[in-house]
Amino acid sequence: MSYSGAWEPVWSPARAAAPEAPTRPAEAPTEAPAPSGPRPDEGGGEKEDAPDIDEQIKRIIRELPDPKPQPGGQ
Amino acid sequence: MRRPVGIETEYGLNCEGFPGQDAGGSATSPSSAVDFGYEASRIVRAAQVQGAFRGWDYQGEDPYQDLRGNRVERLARDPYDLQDRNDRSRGLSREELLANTVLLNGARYYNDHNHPEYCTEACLSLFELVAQDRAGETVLLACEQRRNEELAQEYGELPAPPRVRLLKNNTDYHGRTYGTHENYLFPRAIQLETVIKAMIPFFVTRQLFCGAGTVGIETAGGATQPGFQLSQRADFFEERIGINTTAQRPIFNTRDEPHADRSKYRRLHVIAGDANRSEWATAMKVGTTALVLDLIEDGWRPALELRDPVLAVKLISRGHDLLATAELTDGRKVRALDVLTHYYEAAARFAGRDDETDWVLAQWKETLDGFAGNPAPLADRVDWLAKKTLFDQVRQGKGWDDPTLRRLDLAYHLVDPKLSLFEALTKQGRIRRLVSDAQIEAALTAGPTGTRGAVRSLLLRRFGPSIRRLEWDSVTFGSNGREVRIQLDEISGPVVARVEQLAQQAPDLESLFAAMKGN
Repeated sequence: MSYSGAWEPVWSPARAAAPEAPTRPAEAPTEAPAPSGPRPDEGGGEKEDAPDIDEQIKRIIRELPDPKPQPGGQ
Repeated sequence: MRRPVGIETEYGLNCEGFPGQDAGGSATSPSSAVDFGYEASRIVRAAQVQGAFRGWDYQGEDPYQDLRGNRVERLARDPYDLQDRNDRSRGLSREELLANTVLLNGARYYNDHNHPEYCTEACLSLFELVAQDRAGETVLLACEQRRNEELAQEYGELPAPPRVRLLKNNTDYHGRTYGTHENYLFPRAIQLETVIKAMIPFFVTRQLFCGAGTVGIETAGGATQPGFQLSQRADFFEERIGINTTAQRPIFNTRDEPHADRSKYRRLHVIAGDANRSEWATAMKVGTTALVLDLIEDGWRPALELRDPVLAVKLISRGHDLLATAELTDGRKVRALDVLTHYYEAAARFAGRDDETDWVLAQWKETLDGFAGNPAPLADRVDWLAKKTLFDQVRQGKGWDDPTLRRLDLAYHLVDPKLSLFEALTKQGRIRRLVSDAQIEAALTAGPTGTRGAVRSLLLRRFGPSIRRLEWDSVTFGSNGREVRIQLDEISGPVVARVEQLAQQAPDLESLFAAMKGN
């Protein structure tokens, strides 16, 4: 079944760019697009409750114990 | 995608503060205090079950059947796992312990080897698969919260009751792994050895863009050494090919359970992959692998073969400077980037086939270019690079032996967004998204479009109370004093579409049976 387009990725700037021909020599590295912008359902700009990463790291180190042993799975 | 693909994830179950548990977490065996089977069962049973079905029909399951044509008598088990504590779970019936649940979206959710496992139904759309996989995280988060509420009541006399934390990852950081498997339907007519030869170099190297990253180097059931790796699973592969999954794990797994018409199909059961938090990594892991299978069906064969894939998967995983090489059977040495470029150049023949293929190819090319030059921008989509970029800032040139790094690694995979490092990065806009929250929400109750998962979802919603047994390819109803089984040996296609249409239109169950007989 072909892709219907019903599930468009929210972030897809690369879709507009056709893939390079397979035999074309590798070009100089291209800068990746900027990180994903806010999702449409989140409104614009950084969310007010977005945690500061440094603060989050401090909180993790303060609150999260070391990993505990678990059983193996598949 | 040109084939149905599903993902099954065993979630990590980090248990803290249980009576008798080593407070420092230094024990290397889980057997000391926690009955993981019991906890996994209780977590699954904490799922909201309104409209869901409890149970599973094991009639179509046979994990002993091997793609190579034989049926093994036993599967290898990790001796460490056989020591697990089970005093509470022994009191449960098999049904209670396994806690099989079929959710409204057609997904299976149960206790598999003492871990809560969420299995999506196979999807035809890559982005829908990502949404179905993310819906699993939503389900697991709700279960974690409910189980912790139960534990707080159960151990109310303790100043700090025990708690569970669920992880979408693949290691306990103490030498044990649990899996995230992909399932790809492909024709049985293709020679198995051809598939094995073509897939192994790809499985060994694709970790470059879909490895989840891990702090530490582990040995199965053994000690951990300092370090950082691309893949959480690489340390645990011991064989090139095999049917086992819980010990002596192979890079190419040969379990033969198609869950579809056996005369037409095989299911490629991929155990050599990581649980990704990044939606992009999930999409690329599946999208590129599906394209390689398309190539095989198209008659393409790779012009390379790894001399020692088991060694190569570890060397590449540990070579986060991207300089690690693996030896080919012709003596040449190649980097993961070289191998993936070889596959990409072949897959580019599918450009223009459909939007989804073009998206995968464009991303694949961009990623290869990034790794060949400046990988830094890829930290917004490649899990291991997102972690390493952050951890390098934290450790400021010091080694990987700081225990806080492992704690941060654990935090990246937490399902609970409050402490999850991945969620924090995402909210900061430092991780890209592919699907919206609305799409994930919709995937909680709707099966994958155009598949028998959608039929299962519909039958659950319309006729759930009459369902007696259920599995991937059949639904058995009890009606008017008899049992009626609807068998769906195809995952998609005109028959599935017709059954879905009839199930939508039928005013009642007997009318559905009559309509199906008439078709």
